[in-house]
Amino acid sequence: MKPETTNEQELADWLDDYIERKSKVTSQRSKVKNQITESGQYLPNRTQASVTDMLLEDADVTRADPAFIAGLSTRLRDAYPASITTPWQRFKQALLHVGDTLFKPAKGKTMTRLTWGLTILCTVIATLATVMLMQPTSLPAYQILAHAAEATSRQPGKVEHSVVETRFKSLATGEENAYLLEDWKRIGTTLDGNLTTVERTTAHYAADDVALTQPVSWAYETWVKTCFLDLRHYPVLYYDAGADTEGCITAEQAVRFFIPTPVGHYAEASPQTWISRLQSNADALAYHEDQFNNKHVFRLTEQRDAATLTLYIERESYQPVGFVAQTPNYVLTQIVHRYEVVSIDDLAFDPFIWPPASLAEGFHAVPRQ
Amino acid sequence: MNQSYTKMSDATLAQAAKRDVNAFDALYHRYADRVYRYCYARTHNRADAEDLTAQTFLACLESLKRYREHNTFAAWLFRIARNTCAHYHRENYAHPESELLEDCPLPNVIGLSENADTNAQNPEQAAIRHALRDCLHRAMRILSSDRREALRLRFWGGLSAREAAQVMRRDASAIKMLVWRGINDLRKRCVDEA
Repeated sequence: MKPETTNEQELADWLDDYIERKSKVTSQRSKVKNQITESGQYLPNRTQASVTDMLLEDADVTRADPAFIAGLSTRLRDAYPASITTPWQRFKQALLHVGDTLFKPAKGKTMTRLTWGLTILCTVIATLATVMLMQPTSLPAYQILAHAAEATSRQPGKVEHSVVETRFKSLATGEENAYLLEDWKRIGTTLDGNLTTVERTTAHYAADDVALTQPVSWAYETWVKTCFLDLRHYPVLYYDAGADTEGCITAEQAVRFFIPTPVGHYAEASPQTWISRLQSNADALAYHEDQFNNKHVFRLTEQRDAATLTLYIERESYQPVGFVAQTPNYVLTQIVHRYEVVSIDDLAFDPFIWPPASLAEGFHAVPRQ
Repeated sequence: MNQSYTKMSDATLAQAAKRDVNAFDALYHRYADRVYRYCYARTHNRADAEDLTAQTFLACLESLKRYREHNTFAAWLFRIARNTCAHYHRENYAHPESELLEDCPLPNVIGLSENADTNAQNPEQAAIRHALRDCLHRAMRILSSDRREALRLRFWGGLSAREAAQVMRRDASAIKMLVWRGINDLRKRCVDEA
């Protein structure tokens, strides 16, 4: 945002300085009155000081329950080793734990444990049998796809937001590439009334950065320009040679991560594309109930040319939660971590702001050599 | 808590926290209240703010090995808090972040600019202050989203303009301007128009 006038920027600086001084006074519980307020040196209007003071006071009196703070501290301490250690270390710990339990049972308790184990096993089997008997008649595949299309329907003016993990593996070399893609699309309509993406912002993250903390690259696309910034060496931002200093080129050539054919084009597909691709052949489609990423799903599979396409649709919500395309040489796996269609007004920020050249202080953008 | 931790900088503690639970605990105690306040400012609900604070620190724990000192630790942590809260709002349509203020009458706070005093004991002035506080709470909800967010990070999160800029991916002068304009919007709504 650009200040309307230099004067307004100066006033904003004064206010910031005022907040800084006042918040220190408040946090230190000082009894010393702030002379700046009294004399009005910094703030030209005392009502602004009053509003500012009241917000500071409000913030200062909002305190977390000490019992909650202490309880969460304990919980975090308990979670600490599991979070920081690697999956392999956790697996080893789990194995050791199982070993202890199996081979060092307490004396005299073996029979009790066995009885309990059998009881639990019988209960599980009985529950599973009941659930299977109570299953409604299976839906045909085309209805499952229709439900999925409805669950992912978009409207003009809405924003489609998804976070998808993509893993691409070469079966020949065993080499695997993986990343997370956060994708924001503003939906509009073409002149003939069809839905289209008017604006799109994407951010790549490392595959294990599930909290989306450190973007690796940012891209922005409209019909008239495409922009891309490489953040891997932040605060040095790289843009492509030939682009302007905001990383933009006017051609409609999208800048994307390179994934070799023949499954590469599937990586760019959206849930709608997956669904409509399978809908075209829904009558001949086989599906099974399965588990995918710890979710109960319908697994729909189709053989197309040399590729086997599998779409996983969650049973409860009918949301697509995963997609796999496999050829004799490559496997592409996509896992949907988040999918939603929202109104822009529901968002706490505008995801379509570009350039991120105003990311923060201290960076500089240079062309990639 | 070990006294040596209290003297460490955030950056040193964050590095140590990758292998030392006590260092993580020290960071947690340094920021727990501020994260809670920020979450509370976004939800206006104690239970939700506690849930979101817990989720934020669990996500922080999960991602700690990825923390680099490009941004300050505070900015990195609050970006996680911000994402967590944003996800909460999208998941909970029953608790939209913005609520219409039009049907709520504005309180009469005429005379505030002359009479406001943080140590006011006078019942009339106390009532005025109560009315102003009530108005500010509601007026915050109809501020533009970026001004509201800048105010939350600056006041409730206790971040500096530079740290808030890193969270919101703006520059510091833009944050100062958002705060300035946000304060002016609140003042117009709750003082000038009253």
